[in-house]
Amino acid sequence: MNKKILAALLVLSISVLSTSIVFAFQEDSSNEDASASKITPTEVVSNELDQKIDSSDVKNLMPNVSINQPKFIPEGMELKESFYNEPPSTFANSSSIDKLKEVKFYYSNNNEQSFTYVVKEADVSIASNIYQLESIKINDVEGELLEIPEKKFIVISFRDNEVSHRIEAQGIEKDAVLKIAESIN
Amino acid sequence: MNKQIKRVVLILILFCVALGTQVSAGETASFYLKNGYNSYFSNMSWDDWRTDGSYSYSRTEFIDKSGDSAYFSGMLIDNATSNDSCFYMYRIVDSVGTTEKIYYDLMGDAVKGEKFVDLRDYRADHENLYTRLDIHTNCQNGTQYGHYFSYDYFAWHN
Repeated sequence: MNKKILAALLVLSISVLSTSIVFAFQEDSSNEDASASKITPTEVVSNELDQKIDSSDVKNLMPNVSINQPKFIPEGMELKESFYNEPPSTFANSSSIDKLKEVKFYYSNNNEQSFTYVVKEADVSIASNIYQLESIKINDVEGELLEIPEKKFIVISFRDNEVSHRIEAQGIEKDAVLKIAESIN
Repeated sequence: MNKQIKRVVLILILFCVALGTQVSAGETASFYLKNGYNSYFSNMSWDDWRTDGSYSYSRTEFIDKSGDSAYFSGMLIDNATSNDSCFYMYRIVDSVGTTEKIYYDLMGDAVKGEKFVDLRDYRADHENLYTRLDIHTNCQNGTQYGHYFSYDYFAWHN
């Protein structure tokens, strides 16, 4: 093989390798910066909060979903606020955004008991790296329950009529949380 | 083996290694972030609650430039003690298309909560995906009860 070609290939490889080493070094420097100060991402889409809504607005915001609030509310608790949230519109697959919109209803007794009822069209499942999931049935529909007993925190998730329902309860007994879930129909 | 062939093989290996480094470094070049917070309180606003002398709250957040990892911490200072009924919880919403998997776990004790999250665990090989990190802080002290959460949406573009 021609020695000149070999030499050229060698020079090319060395130059690419050098560039890579410099690039990798720059990356490492950036990571060091990350631990030292607050990092700005490549692009910040926006800085918005959940949108507070009136519960009567729900039909306009999510016209494809039939939403019924729970009929059973533990004594002393009432609906405090309602929220609407949707993912950033810059997602590549914008057609899925409608299904990822969600409405949240927050109930409380102004003390240590509260629960949030969340509704969305997307298929939702719950998980934990530490706590065990329990299989349950809500009105003959398969569901999941996650409990963090030391914090009196319970999550119930189930899917009915192509809609995902989720309840996150704080300080409420398990039987009562199940009763809340069963009253959503 | 012929010396020249050995040289060519060596050069090709070097070239491939160099090229591979470049490609892998470029894969995590772009991500998007949207953040905000929400709060529910028994009898006062978040700002009043965190500065009224009962509690002060400090929140820290570091996000790796590449979007590969994030570190969050929340800390109650001043009069907060481990006897107060406070806890921190994180929630990770791992979304692929129109499917969401939500992870619930605790982070930290009553006074301080912190969590390092390797975001790559939640976006490997996924398309049209976003990950949402919610950090909850719940506190109860006598008649006052506060529930604060912040959220961060991450979306990666290939």
